[in-house]
Amino acid sequence: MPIFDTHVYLESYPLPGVNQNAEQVAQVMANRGISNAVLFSQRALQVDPLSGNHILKAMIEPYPALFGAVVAHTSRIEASVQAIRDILGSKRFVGTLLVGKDIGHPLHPILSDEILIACRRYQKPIFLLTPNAACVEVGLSLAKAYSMHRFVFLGMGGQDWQNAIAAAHQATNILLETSGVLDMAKLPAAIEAIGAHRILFGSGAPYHDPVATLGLLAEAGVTANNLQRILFSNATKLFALSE
Amino acid sequence: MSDILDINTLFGPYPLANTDLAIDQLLAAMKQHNIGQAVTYSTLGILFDPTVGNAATRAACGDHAELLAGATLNPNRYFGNKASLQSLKSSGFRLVRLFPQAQGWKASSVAFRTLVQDLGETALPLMFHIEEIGEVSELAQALTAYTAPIIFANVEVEQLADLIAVLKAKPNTYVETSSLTGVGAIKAIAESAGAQRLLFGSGTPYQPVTSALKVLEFSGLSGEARTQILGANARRILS
Repeated sequence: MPIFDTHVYLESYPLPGVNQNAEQVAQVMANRGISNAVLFSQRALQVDPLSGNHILKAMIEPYPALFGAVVAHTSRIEASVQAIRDILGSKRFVGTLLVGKDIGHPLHPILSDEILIACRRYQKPIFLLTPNAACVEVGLSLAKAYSMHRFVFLGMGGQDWQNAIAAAHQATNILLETSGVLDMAKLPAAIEAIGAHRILFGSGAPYHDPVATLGLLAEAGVTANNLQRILFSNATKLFALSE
Repeated sequence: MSDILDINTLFGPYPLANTDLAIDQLLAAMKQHNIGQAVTYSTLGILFDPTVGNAATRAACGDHAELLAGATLNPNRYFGNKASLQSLKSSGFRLVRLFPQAQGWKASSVAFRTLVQDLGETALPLMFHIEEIGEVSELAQALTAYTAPIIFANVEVEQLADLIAVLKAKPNTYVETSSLTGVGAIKAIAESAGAQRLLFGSGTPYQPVTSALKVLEFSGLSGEARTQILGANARRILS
């Protein structure tokens, strides 16, 4: 069964030789049977949206199974909008990750407007980091305000995954990505509440080995049909890629 | 009996989970994954009262020979009763678990240092639940006189440099694997400090055993090293 990992980072991992370039990412993925991945640039996330996203674009170019998401930063709006205009039209870029000053803290919606408006014409999903309930709350308000966008909650609320499920229940343009805590209860609860069609497999690699999240799925009692959706076809549908 | 020994399991009420973690769930997970023995503790020991938790743990382990008892202690509730510590050992507890963040104490606390000093006479292994960067070093510095095994649990890849430095400096320290899910983390520890310092743990039934087993399987370590980690290392320090 093909697997699409929708949450992988490039560069800046503490251990040398892991995910520092696209070749290393492709190697980790291939060893674990992952067929495709969406990469986020740590350089763009932590330092510079413009150069980070361009480096990511150049790195994934020779690897057709790898895709990218533009990282847009609310404190670097001009550079972020420029990166969106430069890159998001590419078929290899499947969405935009919107981040604020501090990854653990919620975005300020008022600073997000310009970036979300710039993304409109591309009709590609917006990724949000949701490591906790506060980030989920802001994500929900953005999803309600920008109903034309689809929002992917990366990390599914962390320990507060019940908040993420409740948010996705309230706004049908929210999808949940499976990384975050390895809590046995979260995937069965999410499937029951919002259906498997709005859940995407993602690992947060290399910070979390994809096989850890695959292990969570393996023990979640998911039907074969739903498993195929979560692991692959939901992603290809969302990213408008032909299978 | 399977050779796998899971050093990190739990049972009881757990607010983070949406149901209680029943002892039957733990036993079923052990059976499903061919885990021969598991060190376990009652969540009542961290969420409510160590005395109540330890009584629940002792009862569960008394009913099921495959379960080994892990005691929970809280320095904030220790008033110098050394006899209570000795009785932990005599009543079959195999190690002592401490949760600095959840219990609200620091390695610098005199109450913690007093507890550790008094525990030294029991020679019971100590197992710490790590949540913050730097915590491993702080605990190691507070435990220089403790000669029994010291185990760090819940360590993530961001804490790896701190952990490896401590493992190298302090030969009686070990790490449990359930949160070492970062790509290459287990191998980095094995190459820096030796595979004998790694102890298999899953966090089941809250966390899936499959995840812990798969991360070890894909660690890049030899079959021999993985076998050591899955059981032999823990048996050696618990004996």
